[in-house]
Amino acid sequence: MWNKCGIENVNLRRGWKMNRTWLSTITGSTLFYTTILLIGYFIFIGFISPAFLSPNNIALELQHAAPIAIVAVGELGTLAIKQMDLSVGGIAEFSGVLVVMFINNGINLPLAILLVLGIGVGIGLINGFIVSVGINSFISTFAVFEILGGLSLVLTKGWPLSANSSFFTFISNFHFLGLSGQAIYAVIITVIGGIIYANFRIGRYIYAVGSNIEAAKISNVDVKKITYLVFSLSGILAAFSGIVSASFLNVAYSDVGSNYALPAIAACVLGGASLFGGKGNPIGAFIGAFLITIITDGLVMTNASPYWHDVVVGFILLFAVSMDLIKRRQY
Amino acid sequence: MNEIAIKLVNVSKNFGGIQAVIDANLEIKERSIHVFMGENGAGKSTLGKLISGFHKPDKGEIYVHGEKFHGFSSPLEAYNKGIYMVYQETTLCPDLKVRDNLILGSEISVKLDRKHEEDLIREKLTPFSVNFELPSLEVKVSQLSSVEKKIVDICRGLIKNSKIFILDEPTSSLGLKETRVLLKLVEHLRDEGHTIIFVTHKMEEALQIADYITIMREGKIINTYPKDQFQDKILLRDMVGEDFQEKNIARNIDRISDNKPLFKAFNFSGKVGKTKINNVNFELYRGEILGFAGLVGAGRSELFSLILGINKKDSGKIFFEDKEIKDLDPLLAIRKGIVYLHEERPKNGFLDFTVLRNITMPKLGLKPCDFVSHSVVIKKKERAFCDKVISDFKIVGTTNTLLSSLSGGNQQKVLLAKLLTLNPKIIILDEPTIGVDIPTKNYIYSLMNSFADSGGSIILISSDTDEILRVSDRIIIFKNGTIKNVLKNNHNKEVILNLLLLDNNEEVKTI
Repeated sequence: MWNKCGIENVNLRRGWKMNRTWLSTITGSTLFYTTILLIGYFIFIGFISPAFLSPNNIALELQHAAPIAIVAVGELGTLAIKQMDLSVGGIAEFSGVLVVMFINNGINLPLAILLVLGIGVGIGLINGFIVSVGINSFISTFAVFEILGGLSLVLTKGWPLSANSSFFTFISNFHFLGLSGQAIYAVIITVIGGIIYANFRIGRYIYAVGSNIEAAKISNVDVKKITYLVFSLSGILAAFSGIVSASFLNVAYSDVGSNYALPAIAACVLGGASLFGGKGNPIGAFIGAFLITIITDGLVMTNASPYWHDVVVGFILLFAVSMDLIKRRQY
Repeated sequence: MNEIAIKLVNVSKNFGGIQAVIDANLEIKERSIHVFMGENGAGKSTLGKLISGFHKPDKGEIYVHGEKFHGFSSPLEAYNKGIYMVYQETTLCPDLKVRDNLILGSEISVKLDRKHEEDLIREKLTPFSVNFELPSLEVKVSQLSSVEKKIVDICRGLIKNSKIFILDEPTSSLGLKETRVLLKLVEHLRDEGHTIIFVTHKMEEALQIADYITIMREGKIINTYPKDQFQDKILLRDMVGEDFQEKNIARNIDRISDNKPLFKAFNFSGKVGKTKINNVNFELYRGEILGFAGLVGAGRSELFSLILGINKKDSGKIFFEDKEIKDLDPLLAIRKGIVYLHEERPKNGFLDFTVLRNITMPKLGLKPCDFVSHSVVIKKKERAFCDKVISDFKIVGTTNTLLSSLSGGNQQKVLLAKLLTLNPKIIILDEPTIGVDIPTKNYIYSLMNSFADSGGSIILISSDTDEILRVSDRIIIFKNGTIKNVLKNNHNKEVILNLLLLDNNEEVKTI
């Protein structure tokens, strides 16, 4: 190591050069492999069904990926501080149900949305509190998921709940530059998230907490505050995802989010996050969510039964976390 | 003369009944390198942490530049007073870039101002970078070598405008060349006008850089010497106290009873983490204590994790009692009578159970076992067995005491008892006396002697040269993942130190 660095004498004059090139930096990142996987998949699916790659279909895929992508950007924060949020699906379905109920009960749309987003933040703060106290986030957020999923069922009695507002559905369904509202929200949230993580103090603190909590503490980073913050961010984005999903069909389903948490975690890890904390970025999470969506949607093109969906997502998650572990072992 | 940077008056600290620091009185002069030296558990790190604000003293006063403090309530407060501690375990964030680590916690605004950060880094580190090329700011800390991490950690203190640096065993994870770089850097820091408290147990380093040496033993400050009064014999006497005489008693029993080796390792190579093991061959005889001397990080523990099959080897053969054993694994090793005491106590199957369960756990699965009949544990016999072990090994505690509530020395005795009651043929002891008080240390040595006298073989891995010299029959000098020398123990410390510290064509610094 030492000699490789070119150090010949104790004086340590010039010559402490890192022999790590940009190339090794890139090939060391999960996102690099995910991108290759994405391109490879495009080529593969392009042979089977060229129509899959048409701009219209890509826009459709973006729209499909949007709810998971939005959730994943929030999830990322919790993974980056070495926790996880399994309650996102519960928050999403609860929010969808609530917003429709609010609208149907005469509360005006902006207020209904604000209220629900506020509830999302509140649930996130509760999650943050539980985790700060020292309870394992894996269990506690799973419990919150169960509670909220159950409450959604109680509120709807299991039936789809349609909204009697024509404007509500417009939120997700307007089109701009060929993209649906849903996709546009996902892109905007990802970009804002990307800027915050890269350029704001808070992003650095989040990585620091996940990377080495002791180091963060002695560096004046308020670990509790960061924990509350990432969980409330995850909460508000999950709530927003639920609103957007309900608006898309103009109907709130009480089980819409049952399949959110794991794909969101897989998306984050594919995009460079680590279950060991300290890594990841929203743009990667977005790409991960997009990859998962086109792979599962592409199943239709290969004439596989759509029931394979969960099997495929499971394997993608296993693949992603294995990559994470293998990379970690290298150091 | 220089002013006094830090003054301690009657500072004491105890942890759960154990007095870590007792009535420390000390003055540390500005612009000096002040070494705290002592054996493991002497209280030197605790004293450093009291000054850094990591611990709060139970009583006593700390003065910083004449200002009185009753200890700091948190390290942050100490930062503001210009005190920065480089902990033994690096407190950097491995996933962040060097530059982000340097600034972490000192950001001036909500939005990161990278330009300002760069200016700050340049301004604070310029006097440094003239003499020391710093690691690239854009590299993640996880990709740095150990010494680079230490240097980044020190630089972080410079960014925070610290004037007093406390370095806790900074060289423990470094190789020889890396150590030299760090020591050079520490001297440079002093020349730049900083005050450095350097905590170490390595005499060589202390003599090389210290302006003052304070010797600690069992929580007490024994003596402080200025540079012109350094004498290694006196320092050593202060460090080890009354046991000094006994420590040098030569053991001249040539107890290697037959000519055929009991255990042979042939051509062992492999990689554990970052450490490479290269073509290691050695033999172990019946009744022999074979010492593996080496610096921390030489790869001795890694060698045995390859031999025992804990990590995968690239090549290597084992012959035990004239037969080759293919693919040894830890469980098979126990069955064959080869047991291993890991250097880190928690990895020793240190179960958070009672003493009884810890001692009897490995025996439950072995046949025959006195207190297991048809897979049922006979509690009465188990307890009787355990009571006997506790009195035999003079363990302070009862069968029902939780192992974690015992003192370090007693924990070590329990773990040793656990291994010895398995009736092994070979025990491999990896740093068996780390964090152990001196009476227990002596007791462990006597256990080792009697085990060897009764025909058992011991491999002793130790970074404590005195320990190696005291008990070994033969000494293997292990360096950079391979065996450099094998020699009979002639109790000549200088010879061993020369071999250990001599690096190929570089001159040896004799002391």
